[in-house]
Amino acid sequence: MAELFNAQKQTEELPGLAELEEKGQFKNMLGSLMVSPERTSFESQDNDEKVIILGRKHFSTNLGWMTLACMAFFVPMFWGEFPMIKALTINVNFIMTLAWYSALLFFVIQNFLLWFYNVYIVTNERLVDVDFIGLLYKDIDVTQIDRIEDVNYSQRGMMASIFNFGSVVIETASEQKSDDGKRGPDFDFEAVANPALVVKIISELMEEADKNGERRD
Amino acid sequence: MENIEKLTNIQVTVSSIIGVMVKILMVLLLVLAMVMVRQSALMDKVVKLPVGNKVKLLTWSYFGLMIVLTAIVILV
Repeated sequence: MAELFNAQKQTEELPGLAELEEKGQFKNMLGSLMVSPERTSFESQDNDEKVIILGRKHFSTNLGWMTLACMAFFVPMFWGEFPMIKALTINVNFIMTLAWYSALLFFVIQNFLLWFYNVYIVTNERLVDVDFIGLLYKDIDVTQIDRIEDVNYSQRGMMASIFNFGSVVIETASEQKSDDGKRGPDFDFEAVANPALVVKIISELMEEADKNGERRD
Repeated sequence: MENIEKLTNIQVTVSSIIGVMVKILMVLLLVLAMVMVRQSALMDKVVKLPVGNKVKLLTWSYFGLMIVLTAIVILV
């Protein structure tokens, strides 16, 4: 038989939710994808609602600011070469260095916080997208599983291919737009680790909602 | 300009100007650290994670460090 007909057998099938829960995979709290995380909840969670996926942007999306911070770390070691800074007194030089490292530490902690808390949550009832923009603005979008119409994902670029992350786009039946009017009713989870797995789990939940007759088409 | 310096008995140099600017910057960073502590508490309220307390401790530590550093910078 031609190889073409054997190709289907060779493809590795993605594990389902039950299998992942059984194996206890994706449990690292600092990871980009957690399946059935323990002791995790969110603000408007119902009593019988169970968190199935908690994810955030892939860790490699932090490489940009991390590289910048590493380079900034060495700047005070070289700024004595500039004549204007050389002319400053030792005290002023010292407090300038302190201020530089304080600002750098602020930059690192702020970026970490924004990465850590910008999460998306999939429960057995709905999807929640939590976005913190800067330190003063938050945007939380929620949709019910039974209102999801279509789920797909895309992987674009070299980094996405190497580290296996991509955007998961979820089309909903809602007609509501975001408060700034820029986004439509679709959910867009960016830089999701293992996007194929996330899409599979959401599809499983949609099928389950279909079986239970909860879907509103 | 010279007269003003004689009058106030203060010698204005590049070092003194930059020194004042750095002190203002440190106070601003202290305010931002305070905002960050508050924000991390709010973030933890929105999404409760097992390591959330450690993250809050990190921001509180930064705030504490900033108080000490700001005091040092203002006193230098």
